Amino acid sequence: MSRRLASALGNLLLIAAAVATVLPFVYMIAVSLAAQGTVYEGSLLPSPSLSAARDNYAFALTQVPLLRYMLNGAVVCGAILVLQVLIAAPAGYALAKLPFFGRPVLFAAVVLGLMIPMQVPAIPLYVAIAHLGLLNSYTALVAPFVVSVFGIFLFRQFFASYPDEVLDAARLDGFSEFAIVWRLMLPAAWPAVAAFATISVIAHWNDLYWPLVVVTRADMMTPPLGLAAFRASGESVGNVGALMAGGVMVTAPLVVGFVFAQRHLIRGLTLAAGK
Amino acid sequence: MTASQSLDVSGIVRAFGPARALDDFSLSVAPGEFVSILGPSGCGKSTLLRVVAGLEDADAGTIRIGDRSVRGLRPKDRQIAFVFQSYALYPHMTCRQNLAAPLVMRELSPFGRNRLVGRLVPGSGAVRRAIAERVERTAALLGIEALLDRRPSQLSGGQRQRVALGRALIREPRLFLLDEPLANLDAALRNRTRGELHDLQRRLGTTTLFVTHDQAEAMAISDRVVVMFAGRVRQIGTPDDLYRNPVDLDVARFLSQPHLNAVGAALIANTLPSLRVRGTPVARAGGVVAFRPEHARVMEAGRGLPFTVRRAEHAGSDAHLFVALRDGTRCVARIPSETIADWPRGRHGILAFDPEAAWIFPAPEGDAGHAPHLSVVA
Repeated sequence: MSRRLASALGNLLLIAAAVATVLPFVYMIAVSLAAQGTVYEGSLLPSPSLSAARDNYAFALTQVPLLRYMLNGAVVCGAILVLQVLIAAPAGYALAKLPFFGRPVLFAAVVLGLMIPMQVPAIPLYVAIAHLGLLNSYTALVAPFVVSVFGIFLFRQFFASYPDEVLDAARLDGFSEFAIVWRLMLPAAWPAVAAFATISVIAHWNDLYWPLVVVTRADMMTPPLGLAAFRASGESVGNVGALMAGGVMVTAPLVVGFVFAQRHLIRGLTLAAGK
Repeated sequence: MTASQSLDVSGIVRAFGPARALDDFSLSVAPGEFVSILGPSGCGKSTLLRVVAGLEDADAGTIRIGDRSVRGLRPKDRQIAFVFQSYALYPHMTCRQNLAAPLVMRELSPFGRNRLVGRLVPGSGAVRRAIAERVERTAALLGIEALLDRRPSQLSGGQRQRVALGRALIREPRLFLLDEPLANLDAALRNRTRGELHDLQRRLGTTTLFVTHDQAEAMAISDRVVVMFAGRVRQIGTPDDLYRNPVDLDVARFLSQPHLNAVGAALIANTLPSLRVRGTPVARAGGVVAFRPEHARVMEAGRGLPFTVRRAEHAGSDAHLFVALRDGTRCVARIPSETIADWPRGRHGILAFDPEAAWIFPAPEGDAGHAPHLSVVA
């Protein structure tokens, strides 16, 4: 009996946490579908109306270049992800499988790097980018993130369990070390790649801090920065519905992507953790 | 097929810290010869293969394949095929891709290998067709055509072993290195595969080094056997040579599994003072007299070593009778299994052996020859 009670309590707690997490999203969607005046009328969820919804979404799409923001977001996230994998996979392979002088120290440095927040190198990075005249460019948005210590760490953990005899066989068969990474290790580590891709894309799509630092021009803004600018610009004053419509459109690609990637994400992370 | 090549290994040293896995190891293998490296686990035999393949560097010594030193050549440039105990197939590739991998990596450029842009690289189509044809031919040779589109995880151990063998021989190497390729198969399959491997090697004529810790395996399929202990060659010879003329007690024991009898010469001289072992009077020899269970016989009375029966093991047509001599030395005699009932535990009898099939060896260090052979502990 007491075990049942405990499990019921646990479930209740989880439900409460889930509701607390989901409610803001539900509210965002509801407001984005409601007419201007109804939002502050006092009911918990304003009632939706088709014409109001159309107005809100049309306003968000026309008053600010929301599609441009999303295109910027896609370009930046894609470039970051590709470069991160191009660098982290060989680095993780070297740390996992190639004996070389200083490897333990280097690996310790990678682990240490996991603990340093983005804000620490932000100022020197900003100064460097400003001096190079690269503010307001894709390079400024992408370059600081191409080396992902998290990616290196994740790939190293995944590659470490790859059987050494297979690597020896590959070397005898004529695989170069890079061919081993791209043709053997990475295909075998696809759950890790999927997990890493999801985490990386979510982090950089949602990132407000760094774009705020290096981008001021509207045509280089990423979705969160664009929304922030929209809110601050006065265009949206009193038009909460349009702001929320922008929020919905910016969040939607991630949610859809996550729904598809969820299973791989969880598998990739638990596999890496189990090793 | 490429012409068979000789292999000359001389003075190889490979140390891991203070331990020497290979200690001044030398060996010459004639073109087309099948040579087994036999030794207990940890004697350095796998290290030898890895050094020959170039997967590990030797600290000293030279390796020549054919007339050329392979010093400084990378593994893939040595034209050696290696079959690993774990088979080491590429897990995410089909068997067809596994077989093709050595050819694809050698004969196609990095762009030609790519599935998307590969078609645009001039000439790669013809190479691809040639590779596909060789995969089919190799698969037919090994009888694995039906498995080509499966992945290694969908195959049994024996099938994986075949695919690994196919991947090794598809590129027509100058040298086969086989590292206990049969060890993970069950007994019946191991015996069959052993025979097929032998036939295949004969047909291809490729010089082969075969590492094993199983003396029966080594004796069954080798032209010559190298017995190796602690990184050194102890004896090289044909299977028959090793069986009849082991150089010392270690080799004799290793080639007499499961049992070798080793009795102190002094004990024998006590009971049989005039006995000569291959001409040498036992009374004047020190050390131990060694003989195999098949050369021992047991009697109720007569001239020989008195014993007490400890137990008997039935082994089909024969049985093994485990006995203790007067000083506690344990011996084993092979007897016809129908006589097993005559020798209950505790029964006394006389053990005799054929002195022309026995050897006198110096006593192993640290014991006077009284200690029973390890595998005879009853």
